[in-house]
Amino acid sequence: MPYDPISQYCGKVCSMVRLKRYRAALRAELTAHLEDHADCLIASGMDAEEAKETAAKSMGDPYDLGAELDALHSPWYPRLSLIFTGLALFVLLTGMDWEYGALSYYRYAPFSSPHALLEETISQGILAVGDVKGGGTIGSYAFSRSGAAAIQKNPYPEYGGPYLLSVVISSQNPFFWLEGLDMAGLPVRLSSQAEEVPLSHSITLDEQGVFRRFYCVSFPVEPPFASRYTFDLGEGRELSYTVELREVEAP
Amino acid sequence: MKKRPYLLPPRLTLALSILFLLASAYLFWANNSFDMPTAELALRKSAAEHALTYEDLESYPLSFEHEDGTRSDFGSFYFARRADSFYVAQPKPLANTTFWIGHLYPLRPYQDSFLNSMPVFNSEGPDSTYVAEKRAMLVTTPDPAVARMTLTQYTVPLDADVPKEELIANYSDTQDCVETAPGSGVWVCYLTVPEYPYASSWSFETIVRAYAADGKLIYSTPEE
Repeated sequence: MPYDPISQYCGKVCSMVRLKRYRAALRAELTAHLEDHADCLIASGMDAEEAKETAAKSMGDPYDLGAELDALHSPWYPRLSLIFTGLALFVLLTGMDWEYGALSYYRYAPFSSPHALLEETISQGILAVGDVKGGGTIGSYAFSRSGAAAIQKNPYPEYGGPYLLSVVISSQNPFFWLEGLDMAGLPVRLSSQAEEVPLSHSITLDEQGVFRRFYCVSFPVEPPFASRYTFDLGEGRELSYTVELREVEAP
Repeated sequence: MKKRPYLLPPRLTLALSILFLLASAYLFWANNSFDMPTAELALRKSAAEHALTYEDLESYPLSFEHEDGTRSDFGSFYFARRADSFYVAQPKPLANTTFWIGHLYPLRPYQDSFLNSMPVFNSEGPDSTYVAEKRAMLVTTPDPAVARMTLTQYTVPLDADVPKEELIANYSDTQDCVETAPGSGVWVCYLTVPEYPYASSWSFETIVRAYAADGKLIYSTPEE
């Protein structure tokens, strides 16, 4: 095999590069560059063998150049990419209980309308609908300034009386790993009633976002219904809302 | 046309693979209801979800001392009081995972919590029999002098049509509960129903009674 200084130089450079997949492209690019340089030298009157030798030498030490290129194209990038992708696929394919896990009943809907959610939650026996304004913060839960409300006939009057005031509100929490706030044990006061009333129920709806949770909170109410209610929730009444009902029908 | 060694630059591929791994870890954790890897973290999470803090929780190691001096340990429980609300939790590791759950459960006064209640199959002897054991916890408000619990097992024995009165006499246990600390309002009860024959179906009834210091009945469920 004839002696070729450019080929030999490129071989030494490529021998320092651990990423085999990159070697062919590197060799082609480096060879083209050195041959261009050699052609220029030949055009200026230099002997072909000497021109190739000079072009190769002008690039400096091949092992130093190879080490620099190896650092630039570390094999750990594709190796780590492969490991991380493999781990991710392993977790998704073997570690997930898609049938019964929590994600099987969550609905990702962080921008849901409270009115639409209220209609979905209580589709029957609605006597009045309205808006909710207020807000507050309990712990790390920052509650929405607005929501939706309705008075409904209680489908289960043995629990909470014949009529319920149901309110859909939402909260934002930076600690995404926390579920919705459990309001069941929090003190509640509804303006239209002298005594503190227990919540009939409070549920965290399936619709939620990474940081957002929706709630349906229900209070027992008695006719005649008012067009305006206010309620406070929390030991220090941290949460306060005013309910304005637009349409009120006599039961 | 120059052949590219990569479809995407290696650093971009690495960044995307890291994002993919983080997303899969998030989905895995979310699918496990964001359960926590330690008991303390599980309690902290549950406390925050009830507008409480971990520091609000009091820990009681619950145990019951029997008449013969032996002691049954129920493990450590965590309690929190807020106005009339009472919460209880016992963190437990989830089976086949590295996660813990420590849900705080609301407990109304005198509502008994099943710490453990199970029929135990006893196959020794000529006939198969069961022994029922109940470990229960009560919270009381106001604090009575005595809290007493009765566990009755109703069964339909295969070999005889036994009257209910006889069943109560044979398969019932009444014990005074033990207060974990004076004035704490947290009581533990330990009852066992002695061996009863195999039955195709059975049910348990629990009666709780509380008495003032003068012996007056101040609470009973069901009401008497």
